[in-house]
Amino acid sequence: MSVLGYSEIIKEIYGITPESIENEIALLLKSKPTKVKIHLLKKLAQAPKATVSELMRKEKLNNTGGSFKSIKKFFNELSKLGIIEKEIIGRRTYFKFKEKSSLSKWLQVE
Amino acid sequence: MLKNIKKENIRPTSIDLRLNKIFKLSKTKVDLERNILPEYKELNLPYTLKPNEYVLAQTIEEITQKTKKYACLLSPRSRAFRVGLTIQTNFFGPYYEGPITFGIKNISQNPIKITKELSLIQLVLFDIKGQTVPVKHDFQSGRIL
Repeated sequence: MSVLGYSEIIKEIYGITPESIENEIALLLKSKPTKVKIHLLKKLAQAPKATVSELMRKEKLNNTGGSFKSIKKFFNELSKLGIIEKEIIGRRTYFKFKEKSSLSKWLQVE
Repeated sequence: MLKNIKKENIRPTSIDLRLNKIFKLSKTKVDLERNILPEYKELNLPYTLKPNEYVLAQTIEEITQKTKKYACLLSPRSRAFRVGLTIQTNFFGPYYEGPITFGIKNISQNPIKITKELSLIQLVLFDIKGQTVPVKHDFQSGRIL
């Protein structure tokens, strides 16, 4: 009989292993995340899918011009890195996390 | 396995649990053999526990084991006994589901205020070696008495 340590507790409760999250964080760092970008990514993790504009509007952020372009660029880079998925429906570009993403599970934890 | 956990309450080898509700037991002659038990009444939190007063408490966190792989041992946090609160806890096998009930007694000479979300106990998880057998708990799903 052995006592469960931190990483095993996290794995059992959230389904996240240190290795799985390390890979995604290493990729994420390539896209130069900022506090606002991570905040919006967290909101994306909590939604099934969303457009950048929707996420920014919900968070009462200015969703036009440079601010919008910067977040859109960030999300596009993340989709190229395989962290999130991009889906174009009509004129809208939706983003969503992959179902098995550890980063998504981690970002959903309050 | 556990729900309503706060990430920051996960410690190196345990999880701090938070106080949700407390219950006061009525004065009566208890006879466990004839199942004569005291009545209980929920008290509002925050509550000031008088010296020698005993209450039952329930946690915000709940055990929801699906895998039945773990046994849980509850242990008082040192902050409790340092101020004179003694905590009565027990051991949970893999078939219990629901909030955790425990006892709090003020053994100090001072009134002690307890508040919602106060963390007085910690849960330690052990993995089980070998097979277990299903069992029906008397106090399943957080039954008080």
